[in-house]
Amino acid sequence: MNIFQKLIAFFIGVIGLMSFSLQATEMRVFENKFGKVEVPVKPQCIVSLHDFSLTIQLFELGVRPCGSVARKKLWSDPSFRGVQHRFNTEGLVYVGSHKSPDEEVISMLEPDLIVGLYYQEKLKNKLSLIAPTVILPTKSKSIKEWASQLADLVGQSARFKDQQEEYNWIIGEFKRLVPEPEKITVTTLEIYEDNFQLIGRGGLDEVISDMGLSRPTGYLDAKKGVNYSLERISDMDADIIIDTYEPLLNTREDTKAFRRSVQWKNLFAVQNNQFLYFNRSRYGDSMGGLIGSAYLLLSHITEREFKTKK
Amino acid sequence: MNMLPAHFLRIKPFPRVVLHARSSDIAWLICFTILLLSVLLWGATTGSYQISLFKSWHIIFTPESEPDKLVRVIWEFRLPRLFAAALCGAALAIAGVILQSITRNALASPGLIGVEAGASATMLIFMVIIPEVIPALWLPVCAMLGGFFVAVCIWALSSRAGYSPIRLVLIGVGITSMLSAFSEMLITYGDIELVESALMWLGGSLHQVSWLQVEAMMIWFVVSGTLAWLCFRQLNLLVLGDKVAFSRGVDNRKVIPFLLLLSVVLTSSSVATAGTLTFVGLIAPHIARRFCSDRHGALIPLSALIGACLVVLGDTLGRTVFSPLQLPAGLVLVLVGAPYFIILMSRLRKT
Repeated sequence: MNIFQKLIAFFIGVIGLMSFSLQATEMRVFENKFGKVEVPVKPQCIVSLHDFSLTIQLFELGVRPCGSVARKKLWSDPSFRGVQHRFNTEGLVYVGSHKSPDEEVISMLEPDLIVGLYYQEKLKNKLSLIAPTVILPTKSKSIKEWASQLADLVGQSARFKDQQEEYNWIIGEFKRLVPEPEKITVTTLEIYEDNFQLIGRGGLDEVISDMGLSRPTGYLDAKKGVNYSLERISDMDADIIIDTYEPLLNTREDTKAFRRSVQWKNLFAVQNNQFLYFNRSRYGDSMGGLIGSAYLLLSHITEREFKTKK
Repeated sequence: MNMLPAHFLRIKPFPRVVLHARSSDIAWLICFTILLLSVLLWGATTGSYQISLFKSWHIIFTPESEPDKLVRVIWEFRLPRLFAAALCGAALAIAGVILQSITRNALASPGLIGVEAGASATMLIFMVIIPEVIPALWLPVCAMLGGFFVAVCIWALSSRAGYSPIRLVLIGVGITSMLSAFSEMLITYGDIELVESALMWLGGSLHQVSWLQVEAMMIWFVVSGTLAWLCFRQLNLLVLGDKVAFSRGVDNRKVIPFLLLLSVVLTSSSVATAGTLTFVGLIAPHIARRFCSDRHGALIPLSALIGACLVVLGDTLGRTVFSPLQLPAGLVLVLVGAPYFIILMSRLRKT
């Protein structure tokens, strides 16, 4: 090897070392109730362990995750619930179900951050072998609170503040137009073929609480997550009843018969055309979901004729 | 000097320990050991990320020279699952042999006499009703305690007026029904997200298994499995009836509670590791009997090998067929194993 070749080899080596040091990931410590995790300051490939909340929120923050769990039936294509009708999911890799994400697929993506929900804490140790894994307190904290943590985690706090600004404006506008919101009662439920549950998806329950709307006594006395007989529907009657349908599951058709029944038609909300029937997957549990649900309620309560029982 | 028939082998594993085994039993044990090793090797090379046999071999034996990513896939994700599957399958199969022999009932299995239901119901309580009370690491211990509690209840109730195998089975069936109804109630009325995780586990999933659980399972299996095998003579006599066994020095009042305890340990540790894999404890002993009849010296290890093969097969199929969607091993096992079991049983000669 002559001197010229040695010099070239030396410069290549120096450039290689410089590029390596430039690429070395800058790390910081992220802490929440699930513990401290050393995470990259600017994560490049994030895997989300829940499509209907985390994946949506990441897209809303302008971050494209490299992998996400999705809903899938055996012979169908995966569906990123609440995501694919709002964002371009091309290149988003399906990594299995939220109950049992496939570690091998996640590992092959070589992510530098994995984010999951509270009930995925038991997966944390194993997934931490692949990349720093952060569990967000999605059950104990409001959407606003955990979304703020997620924004901080992925370095998008400015975008989150914009979302928060918009949401706060809607709530403020609602309270300006409805000075006594506590006089309006709202029931959020999901009606199935032979029973119903009290659920408000897409952040609806959080919006109702933030707007200061109240709940009927029957709703307050009942438990969430319990399947009630349809005979008890009259206990849940309110000024507004909000049900949701799932386009993927044909729930509109399945519950049509019940909505034709006298029992249903006798409800105050139904008689006064104040029964709202929303698409269950339109808004996820995200800041965008809160904003969307808040606009819907603002519009239905303040921008049209509205009656209350009292 | 004892004269043995020509087809018997005389094995001397330790000084002063001599075993007499049929050459056919030894041959079948070797066959199924090779089969288990083949299934394990296939499982190690199969997954969402295809790794060739040659490459897998290298990763297993010289991991330091292979990329971290591949080493992680094999060593952290596949191998713990495979070992846990094999150990759980073997444990449940031995528990099945013990229960079928002490009850002298071909239908007896860990799933039928309530031990599995007890462990499952306990896990569900801690997963669905009070999810944050016990750290996830301690959940298997709770499952074992639940299994033990149910076993003690069954034994106490079935032996109050003198032990009777049929009473033990019937009380087990009753307790299983009661606990199944309780589990159903938890599933129906529990928090949907917690229930979904619990359902995955209930289906017999090895998705969350780590080396730590494999080590724990290994200890339970080696201790209980060895003790169970050492009782093969007592089991051989118990299937002939209590009186025959008693006349040959086997006191069922002492032996049966001990054997029941072993089956509870094997079942509960398996349920705690992999959830409910009900079918293995029933099917593996029946398949093994086709090869070695009721000779428990061979039946116990052969059932263990068959049970291990079945669960490894079920888990590998479950994580690869619709990958990255993961089907619980227990579910695949029933889907694949049930038709085979039905054919097998329909071909059995009338006895």
